[in-house]
Amino acid sequence: MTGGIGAAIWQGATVLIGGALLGLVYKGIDRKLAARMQARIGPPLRQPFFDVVKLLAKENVVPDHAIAWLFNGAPVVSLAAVSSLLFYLPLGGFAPLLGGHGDLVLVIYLLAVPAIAMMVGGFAAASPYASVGAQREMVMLMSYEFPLVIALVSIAWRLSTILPEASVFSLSVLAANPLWDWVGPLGAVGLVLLALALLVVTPAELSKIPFDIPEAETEIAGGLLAEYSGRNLALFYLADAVKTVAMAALLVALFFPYGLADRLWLSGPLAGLVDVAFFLIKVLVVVFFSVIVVRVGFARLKIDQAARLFWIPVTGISLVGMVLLILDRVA
Amino acid sequence: MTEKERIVRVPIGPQHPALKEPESFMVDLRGEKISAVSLRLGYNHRGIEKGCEERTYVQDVYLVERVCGICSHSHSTAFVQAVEEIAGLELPKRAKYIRTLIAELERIHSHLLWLGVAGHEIGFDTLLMYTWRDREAVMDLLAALTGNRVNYGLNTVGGVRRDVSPEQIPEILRVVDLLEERTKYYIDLALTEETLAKRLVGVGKLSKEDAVTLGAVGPTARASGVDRDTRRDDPYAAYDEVSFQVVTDDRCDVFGRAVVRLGELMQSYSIVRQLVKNLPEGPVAVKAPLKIPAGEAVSRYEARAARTCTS
Repeated sequence: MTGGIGAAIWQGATVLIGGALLGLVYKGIDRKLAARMQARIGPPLRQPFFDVVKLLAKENVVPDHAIAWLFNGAPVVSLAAVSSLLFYLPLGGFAPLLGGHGDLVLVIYLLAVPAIAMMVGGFAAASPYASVGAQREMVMLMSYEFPLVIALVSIAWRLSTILPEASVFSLSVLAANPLWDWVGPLGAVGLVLLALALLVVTPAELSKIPFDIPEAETEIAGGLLAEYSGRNLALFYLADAVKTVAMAALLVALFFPYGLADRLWLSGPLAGLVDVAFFLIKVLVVVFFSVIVVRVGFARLKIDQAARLFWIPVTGISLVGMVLLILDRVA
Repeated sequence: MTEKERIVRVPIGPQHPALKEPESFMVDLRGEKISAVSLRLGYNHRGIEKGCEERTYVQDVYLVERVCGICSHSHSTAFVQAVEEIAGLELPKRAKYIRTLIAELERIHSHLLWLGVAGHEIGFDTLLMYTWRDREAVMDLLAALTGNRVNYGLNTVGGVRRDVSPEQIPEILRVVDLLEERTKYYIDLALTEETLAKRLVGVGKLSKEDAVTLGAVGPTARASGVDRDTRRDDPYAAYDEVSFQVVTDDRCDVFGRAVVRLGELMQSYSIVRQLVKNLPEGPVAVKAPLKIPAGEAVSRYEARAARTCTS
């Protein structure tokens, strides 16, 4: 029994540390690729590691009028929430560590926690920039959550009509039974639309250009993060890096969970290795198209424009996707 | 909540990432709408006027050049023109042409800079990186022609201090061709990229009437449909010998100002080509008298962002 607990702790630590390292590596790749696209040389791939180490060594300033425990608590909660996301997501060929204890609904909540933590931290900072940022974050959260939930729930519902026995909200079940194998042409179109909606939601979920409105450096001087420094900022930085990987892993699990090893008739440790490598590439592809290209190619939107974008076209696309999945069931 | 509590007061400046120089805007926000602004300018008062009073005409040329780093040539030109008028100097044609050439190259670098900064402010850093990369070409050209990137030190009372050599002419034309190609791309981008238009259209409205009553000048006035350009209306240096169009726009917002600047870039390329093609032979300066009497003169100059007057 003790061995079981020891192994669990070992696995958990691996996932946490691996997730953080992976997040920083992807951030490095993101910065390098974005720089190349902007005709710059860009920082070395290790730069995010340097950044975190430097921030951790810096003084942690808490503003005089801030509510200190909320202000200091927000970054911890934020990083804890995104890190625990990693326990519920299938990573490569491995089933999620806590797959039996939480499902898609929990993932949706955990995805919202960092945004809420940042909002609380922003309000607690008692700075006008942070307050404006927190208000904007609130509007963003209300805008992109709806299409996100529609997409996730539609997929789970469609799977429940195919496998009535399975617990369809479990991510390992979702990943093990890709919908593409079951649906007809109508459903396939619906799935493509839902994937599109989620690709648009991803940069908003991660507060990246064109949806970095709550942080908007040139308008509100970093907004939510304006008053953060030192260790707290490092934690937010890490949380952002890990969330990028988690969000991409979620999209991969929902829309492209296929492994490569089966197709290459591999087995044993090599199969695991190939699957992990393939998974990392899939995550990179998602990050590339929904974060890097988007943040290089667009200007930051205004908050009302972003809200309208999510409420009308993106919600519309995901609703059409849902209706197509329903029609696919009827047909 | 009372009306007062609903307002968030956001200080933009004196130090703020969007500002290039210290100035303060206290912005009262109701949600995302601005309900009031109070301004405080003048953080950057450096006493240059007083400094000028205590120096000689020639020393002043270099002091005045340092009023602004982006438009240094405009200040020194406006100043030496006034001094030359007092001294009664008639400039050689080649000097006038070279002054105009540097003036237009300065306009090109400044408009590219403005475009990049505008991109940066709306979170479109790619535009900043592209325009500033292209701007390096014209900065290098200015350094090759004058010896300096920013404060050119080219003007002197009675002409210019450096000649343009025949070997430099192909380089000027090469840079202008390159930049013209890039500017066409930016014009296309500005007119088709939707997020750019979304951030710029309808922002910073200045109606034509307001532009006239408030005395707006430069690209700001022209973007509000005011057809006004010192280069055409009161030509100085060699502007009466080149042909160009005054670009105006009726949008009256930041988008219009971007369109006007892009159009002016194209005009500047054409002006530079004409100047280089018709560059007259001869000396680049006349000897200024050692003693210039005290006097009063007004000189006007269409600078890159406003109009510089020296009296």
